[in-house]
Amino acid sequence: MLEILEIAVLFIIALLIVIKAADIFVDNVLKVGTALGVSQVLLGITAVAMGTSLPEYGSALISSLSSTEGMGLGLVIGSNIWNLAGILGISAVITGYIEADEKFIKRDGLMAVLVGVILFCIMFAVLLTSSDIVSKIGSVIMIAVFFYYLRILIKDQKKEIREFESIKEKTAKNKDTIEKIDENIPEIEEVIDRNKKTLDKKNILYVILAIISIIIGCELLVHSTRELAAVFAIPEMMMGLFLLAITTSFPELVIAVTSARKGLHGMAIGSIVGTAAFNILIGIGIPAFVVTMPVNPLSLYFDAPYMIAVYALTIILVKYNGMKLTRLTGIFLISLYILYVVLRIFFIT
Amino acid sequence: MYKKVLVPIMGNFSEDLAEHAIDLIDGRDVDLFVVYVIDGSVPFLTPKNIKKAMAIELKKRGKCFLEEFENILNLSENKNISLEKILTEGKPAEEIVRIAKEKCIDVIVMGTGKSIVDKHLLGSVSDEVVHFAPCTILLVRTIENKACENPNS
Repeated sequence: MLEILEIAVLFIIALLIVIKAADIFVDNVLKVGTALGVSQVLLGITAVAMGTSLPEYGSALISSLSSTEGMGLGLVIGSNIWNLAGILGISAVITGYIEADEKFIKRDGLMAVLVGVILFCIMFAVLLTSSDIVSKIGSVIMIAVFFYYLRILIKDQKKEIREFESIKEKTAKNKDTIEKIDENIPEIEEVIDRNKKTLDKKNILYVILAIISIIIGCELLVHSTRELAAVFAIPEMMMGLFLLAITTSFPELVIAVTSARKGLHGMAIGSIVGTAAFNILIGIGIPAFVVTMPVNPLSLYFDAPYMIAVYALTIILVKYNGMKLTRLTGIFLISLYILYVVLRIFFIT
Repeated sequence: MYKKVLVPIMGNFSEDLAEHAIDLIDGRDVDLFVVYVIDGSVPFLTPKNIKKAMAIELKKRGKCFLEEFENILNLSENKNISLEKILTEGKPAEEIVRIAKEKCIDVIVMGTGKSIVDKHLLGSVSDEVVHFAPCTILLVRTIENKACENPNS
């Protein structure tokens, strides 16, 4: 009993370290990037989309490097199913509804489905051949798709900034009419400030320390997960699918629920759907280049198709519900996740 | 009777609120304060950049909602109204009560109408304001009461 408690405490501490270190990492990378003249648009997109997923990427990479049971692959697929069915469902139930825009369907949603299908094909090829070359080719394809998707996101973001600036010019005359504004919150134009800032060595040090903390934290996270798997005699793959997937998605859960409660529906849905494709392309794409992707047949024939089905169903639900995820559809999504857990634990093992 | 009116807005039902405020004012000369509170509170472990992004987005929306409310009021027609727009950050209920005290408000006109489920899951700003406001409050029902639409039913 004491042993289980010790491992559980270690797991929680490791999780907190990874989440906090990821936050510090993103914050300081943004500052270093700005000082080096990297595009604010690129920094903004990657920081928001990838920042919250760093715990998943780190744990997936470390478990892929040290596991043969596909814990890393399970973690990413499990995390994506949890993010979409679980987190989005919970957010819709709590807030009553989440509105989505056309971009959700046409860009992020379809990209998530497409990336899911690409992953399925690569997994199939790897399982069939067990070849390191196939894994590497798959990795290169995924990384190439990642850059293509990033390019689309940057293009859209630039367009949004241009639109914002033209609206700002039109409404400039009205700017003084607001009597009192809290000055602690920056304006959007401060955030898209293109001026280079001076490079602070402290930020570089924080980036390095954060990377070290993420590596140590993820190592501890994967280690304690393995220990728990051994104690409870549960396959490592299952631990990746559920325990690691749910816990490393904690930042996404917080962001989705909080932003939906504040009426920031775009941010709520974007933080989940937007990162779904990134999770696969980076979380599986990079480890697959370093080590041969350990494909479990169950992942190929059940988990991956289930994930793609959840993506597709979410898009259909939103599209045919007036571009909204209602409380009822939220309950349906949560039920989909519960069904997945029940099937995976009791029937498809 | 009411010389200083406070209207807290959250983006939805601005037309209803403006309509009720104008009806209450009834052509008298009043100072109307419209407030949008940026709720910047976030749970533990929310990434710093996301917190900042949320605050920026809420500020942008707040400005839009205040402008929208001004347009709905149509000040060129309602010249008796002297409008002051306030954009502030904090806990909505606390900020509304604070502004009401600071500006010596006579009446607050605000929306209410969440379902029981929503009240439990999301909480209610109007509930809190009702308990702590230093003045009269006119709660504008934002849920349609269809049963009372037809007087014969």
